[in-house]
Amino acid sequence: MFPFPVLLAIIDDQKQLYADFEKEAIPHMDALFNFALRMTGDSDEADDLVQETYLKAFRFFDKFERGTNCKAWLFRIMKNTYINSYRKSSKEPDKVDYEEVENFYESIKPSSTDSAHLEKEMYDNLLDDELSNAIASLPEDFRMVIILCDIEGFTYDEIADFIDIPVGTVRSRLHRARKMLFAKLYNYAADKGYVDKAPGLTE
Amino acid sequence: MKESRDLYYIAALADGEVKDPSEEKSLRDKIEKDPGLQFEYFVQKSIKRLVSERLNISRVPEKVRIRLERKISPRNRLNHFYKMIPDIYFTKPLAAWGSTIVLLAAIALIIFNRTPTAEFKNFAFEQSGSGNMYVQAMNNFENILAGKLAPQFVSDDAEKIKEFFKKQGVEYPVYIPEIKDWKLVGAVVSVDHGEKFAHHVYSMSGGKLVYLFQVDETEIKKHNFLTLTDDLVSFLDSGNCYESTKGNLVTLITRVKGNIFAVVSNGSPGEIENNLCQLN
Repeated sequence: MFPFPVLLAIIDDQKQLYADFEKEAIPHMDALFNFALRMTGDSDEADDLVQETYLKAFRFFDKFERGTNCKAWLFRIMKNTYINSYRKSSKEPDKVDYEEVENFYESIKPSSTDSAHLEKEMYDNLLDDELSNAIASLPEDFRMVIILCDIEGFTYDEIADFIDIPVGTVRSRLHRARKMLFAKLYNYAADKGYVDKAPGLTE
Repeated sequence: MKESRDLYYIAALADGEVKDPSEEKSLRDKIEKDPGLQFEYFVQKSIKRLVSERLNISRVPEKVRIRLERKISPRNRLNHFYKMIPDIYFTKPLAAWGSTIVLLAAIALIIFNRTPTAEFKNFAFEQSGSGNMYVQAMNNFENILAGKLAPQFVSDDAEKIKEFFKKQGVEYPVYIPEIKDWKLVGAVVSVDHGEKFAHHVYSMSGGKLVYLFQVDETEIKKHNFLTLTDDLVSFLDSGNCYESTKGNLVTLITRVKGNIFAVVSNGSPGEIENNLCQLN
């Protein structure tokens, strides 16, 4: 059995570690849960992913450099956990043919002079579930940057840091991801008759 | 259409990520002149707005928070640690039983060969003799700090500690005060002339320890191997609480529910006094 002072040191270390963890890491739990939910597309898997991420983070919290970006550190752990354990068990969304998106673009541009009208139609008539489904159907790399930038509000530098890609790639992926998403949402709107059907894109 | 660098920078412009003002101006000029780029900019801005405004942040379910709290809070982790202790006797029996025997032998040696420390003679209420409760408490606390006296039972639960004392054969009722900001750490039962005595330890802020040795007053009167000087006993009889400091150690003798408490701590004298003297 440990002597009292050693035991006390263990208790105090644990208490201090937990207090720091509670202050630095726990406040980001909602943000991580949203990322997990959008990446897995399943609330039970998202629960497990959050828990696994936080348990790993706690286990290695003594290695976390205090004062650096804890949220980015947690996202890095979550991204790696997702890739290693959850991606295999999740159904990979169908790949979007980017050429097809480009063709769609070419066909829609001349008829889309009234951008304000188009935006209003899409904003007013699109259901939140349709928007969520459209994001969920994006290829994983593109979905990830949309979530991180437009939902979680990370900067390009932060996204580049924890996806481990150059900032230029973040920029190009975001550009493409939004175009893909726009094409999908336009199709939803066209199916409902809010905008003209555009040739060149199949669902 | 082949994508150009400008197109990617349009996404960056929509995100406020073009950091060079001249580059931003040049890009805005291009957009103004080119309807194709205007449409690209519109797509980037409108999708960003749509996603960020329409998709609210959901809160993590409470069950996940609770599950996580249960796994990582220090209290639960320590309980898990305490629960592991008996398992050690099965998983590593040789090492565990060997260590226990050595430890018990060490405790026995400490208790049976305790020697009075000359410096204690200078206290206001002079105590002396190896059987003096005050001296024993001081010696035991020194041994705790030196790591020579380890807990036989580890728990932060007063009831469990009381149960431990009972199971180990302490025959008098033991009182374990639960004190705010102090955490119970563990307990030891010593054996002297075949009689069992209760000792327990708290931790307080700043890594300080409070050691409490308690004996039923009738035990002191009954046996001559455990003593307190008459002047100290009469001081306690008057309802007093005796406190003394030496170096960084504070010692306190008080009577609580018919038990004599000998307390030694390296914590704040005021805190020890406030928490323990009011119990009598």
